[in-house]
Amino acid sequence: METKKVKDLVIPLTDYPHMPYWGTLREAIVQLNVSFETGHHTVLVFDEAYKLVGMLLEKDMLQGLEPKFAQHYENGVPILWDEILKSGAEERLGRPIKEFMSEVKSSVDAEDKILKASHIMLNDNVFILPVMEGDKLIGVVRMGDVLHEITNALLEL
Amino acid sequence: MFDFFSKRRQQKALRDEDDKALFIERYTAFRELLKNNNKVLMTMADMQEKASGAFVFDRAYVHSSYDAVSDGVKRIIDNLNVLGNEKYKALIHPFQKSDKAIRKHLAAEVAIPKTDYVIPLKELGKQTVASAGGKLAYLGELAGVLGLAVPPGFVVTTYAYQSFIKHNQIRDVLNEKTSKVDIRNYDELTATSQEMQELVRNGQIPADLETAILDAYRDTCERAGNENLKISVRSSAIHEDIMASFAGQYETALNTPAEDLLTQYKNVLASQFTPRALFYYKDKGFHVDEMAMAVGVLAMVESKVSGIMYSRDPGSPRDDVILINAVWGLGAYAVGGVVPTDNYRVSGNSEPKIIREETGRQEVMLVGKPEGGTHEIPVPKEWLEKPCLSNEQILELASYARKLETHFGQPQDMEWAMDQESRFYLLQSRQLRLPSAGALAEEERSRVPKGYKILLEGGTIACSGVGAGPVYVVNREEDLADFPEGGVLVVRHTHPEFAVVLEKASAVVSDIGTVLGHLATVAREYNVPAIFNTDRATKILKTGMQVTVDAGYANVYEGIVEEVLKSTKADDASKASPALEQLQGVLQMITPLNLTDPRSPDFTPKGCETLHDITRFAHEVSLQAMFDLSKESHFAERSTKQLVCEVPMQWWVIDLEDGIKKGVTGKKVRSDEIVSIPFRAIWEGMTALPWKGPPPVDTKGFLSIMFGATMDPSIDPSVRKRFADKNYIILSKHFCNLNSRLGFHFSTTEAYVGDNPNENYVSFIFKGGAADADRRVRRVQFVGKLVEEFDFRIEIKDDSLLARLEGHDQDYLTERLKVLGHIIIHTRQLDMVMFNDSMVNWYYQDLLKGIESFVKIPR
Repeated sequence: METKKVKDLVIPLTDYPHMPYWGTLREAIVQLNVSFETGHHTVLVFDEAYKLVGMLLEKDMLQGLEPKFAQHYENGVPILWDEILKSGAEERLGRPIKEFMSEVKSSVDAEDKILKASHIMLNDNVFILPVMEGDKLIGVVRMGDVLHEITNALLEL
Repeated sequence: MFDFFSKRRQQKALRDEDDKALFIERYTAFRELLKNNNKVLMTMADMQEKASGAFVFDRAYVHSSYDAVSDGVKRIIDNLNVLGNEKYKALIHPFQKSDKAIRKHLAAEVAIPKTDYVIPLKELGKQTVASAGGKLAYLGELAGVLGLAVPPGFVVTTYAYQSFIKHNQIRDVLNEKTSKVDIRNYDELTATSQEMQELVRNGQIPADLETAILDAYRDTCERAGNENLKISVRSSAIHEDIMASFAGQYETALNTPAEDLLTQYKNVLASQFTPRALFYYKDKGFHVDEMAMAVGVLAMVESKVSGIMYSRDPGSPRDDVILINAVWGLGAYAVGGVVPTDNYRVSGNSEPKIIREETGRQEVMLVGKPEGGTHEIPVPKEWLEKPCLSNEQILELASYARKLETHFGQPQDMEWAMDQESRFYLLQSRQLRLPSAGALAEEERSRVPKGYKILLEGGTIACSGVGAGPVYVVNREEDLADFPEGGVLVVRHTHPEFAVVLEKASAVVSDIGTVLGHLATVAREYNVPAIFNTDRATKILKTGMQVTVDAGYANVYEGIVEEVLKSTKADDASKASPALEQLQGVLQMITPLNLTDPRSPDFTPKGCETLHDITRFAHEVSLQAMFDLSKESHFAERSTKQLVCEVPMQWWVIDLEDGIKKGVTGKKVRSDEIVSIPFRAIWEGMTALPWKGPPPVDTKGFLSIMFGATMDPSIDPSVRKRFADKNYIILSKHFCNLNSRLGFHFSTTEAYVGDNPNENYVSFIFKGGAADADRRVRRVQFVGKLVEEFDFRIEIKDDSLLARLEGHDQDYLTERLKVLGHIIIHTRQLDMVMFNDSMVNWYYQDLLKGIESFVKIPR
């Protein structure tokens, strides 16, 4: 059986939360909060010309919220979240997401097989990939969906 | 070869052309258009207010108002064609059509028919009003059609009057004086009146007219069987008695001997120009040529008793009640309110009941002298304690009243006389003016509000209603000159001369007077609350006191009593004057609005039917044209200055006039050097809160969203060329057009904010975005909802929003321009984040919070 193409798994752009890169962390939190139940946990970040400049991942957001002092410790530092909200949170929440977002290193073409997408993800250590149709961005593909598709194919063998 | 270069040069010239001069020319036209639009609408509103009937005005007002409207609309069309580059030439057609029709309507006048100089009374009827005047025409109707007893006599026609005026060549001078006189200026009115009356009295009666009058007199003598017949000479103007109540405005000469007939004829003609008649005539808006006066010459009834009769009680017009008052001697004393009268109420028809109120206080009476003229003599002793009329006589009079009311189909106000042989004559019958329904509905208000002092209690209500103001006691005619606006007229007697100030009065109170008299009639016409017969008003009420007159319960209170004043103000629907009718007719041709929907296919010059349509159309397309003008104009570098600002966008400023402080030179201007009122407000909104937008150039991104077909057309390269990189701000002291474009986002804010609220407006167009259609629509609805919160009227189509505000004062608009400034800056790119409605709500609250932190708008 032929494996599927990326375009069969693509999540259209319109279904994904967007933000301009100068949007604040607070706005990003609101975005993710309202989109939580849709299962989308990433914000696509654009510039004023609507070019994709980055993605705000869950880890980026946590990083943005983490107080400065915590960043000097190794694992296991007892961070108290309510303190985060107290000490200097306002300042951090007002910072542009540009400072926290992950860069977009690679993309995949809609006509590519999903195995290629899997390969790129592993190679670049990313969980989500922009999907292009020619030179146009049409959506994203997620590692979970890729894995699901591959395991389904394997089980049916 | 030569041609080729020449063409190339031309093209180059075109490309370099600066549109600033052209822009200013069109902008000026636009301003003129708005100004005239405002003027026209104000004039129309004023006319409509007047047309409600609650105000007084004359025909000159109707003419001059229409001239103002016509002139304004013409200017609107001219300026629209300058602004719109002659695109709206077709508007002139509906304008000319309307204008012609309205002017034709305005020119319509009453024509005086060519008749004989004199016509016998019995040949007259209501169809002869234009020849015989109202009074005599109706009296003729009583005699000829109803067969009632009237004195023999004849009328000297309006045609005769016209011949008299023509013969003496005084028409033009009379017209000029009439149209020039300021009737609110008492001294001027009196002086002009004197001059005009002199002109008439000194006039010469043409020989053939003189012969006609004297022949008719001899005929009357023959019929009366008395060759030395005394006569009464009475005014009978065209509109007297039938339309506006000219009650008592003109001269009547009683008991005139033959030798005085011609002089008295001229006196009656001259009485058209007494101050009170002149005032009344102009105030009611009659046309100059309608001042034609017919004069009745009637055999004098040697009255034993005379009086007035109403076929209805103005105080309760629904009841079948006839009011009669009677005095000994001639009726002039009954009409003028000079002496106390006997009053009778006849109620019920089949079994009439008479209620008598015999005052027995009439001590003097007016009678004819044997040699002519009248004089006052004591009432004979044997009559002193007697009633003027017996029950049978009262019932006989009442039967005439019923007959006349049935015949004319309207309540009647009649004058009657009874001769020495106890025969009745009717001297006059005219429509009785009744207070309006509103005034009658005067009801459940508690009779005496607590805590107020009653100064006067009792009296006769001549016109019901409530009024308050400072007391002004008038003893003589000269006192009238200083009568204050809104004053309470307090008089001893209800002389008709006092009518000249009723238009200004808030109420009338008299010691003595009759509800059937002239002043009462005029009071009702102007709907001035009136209480007569209070007996001691002039003793208790002093000039300057503030009082409240309750002519519902015949009380006068000290001070201003709000509880009483609150009761329904009546408006007199029955008011009708020629000026009012003309105004209403003209308005019907001006004000209907057919073009209500700018999106309708009929919203074209061709679709305009009325002048109001034209103004509506012109105003709408002018705003559009102004908008387009800003968009399409090309400004050369030398006309623009770059705005130095903190906001990381590039703006170029074009100053039309006075928008930038004097003395600013060079290629740059700072925002604080700009004095344009709307610009400053927008700018304040833009910069009030820090902007978290991007630096202008930041193209790190490499994957571009191109939604192809759904993309805003504004990024079409040809359009983009002009405005993509440069944002223009066109401004003057009171005007600002600000274009803001960043990437795919576009907004235009335009405002005029001056001293006149009616010319002011703000319009705001917001459109575009690069996200998918759903997100763009969500954003535009979000912006729409925001501006709506601040009172804008909005219109949304797909992803574009048009928001407008018109006709508010400066403070109101500048606060709202701040809102727009904030929105312009803080909503761009927000289409991206409009993931779903929850996001919309969050941003809505967020922006609202931001706006409220610096804008003061109560919501």
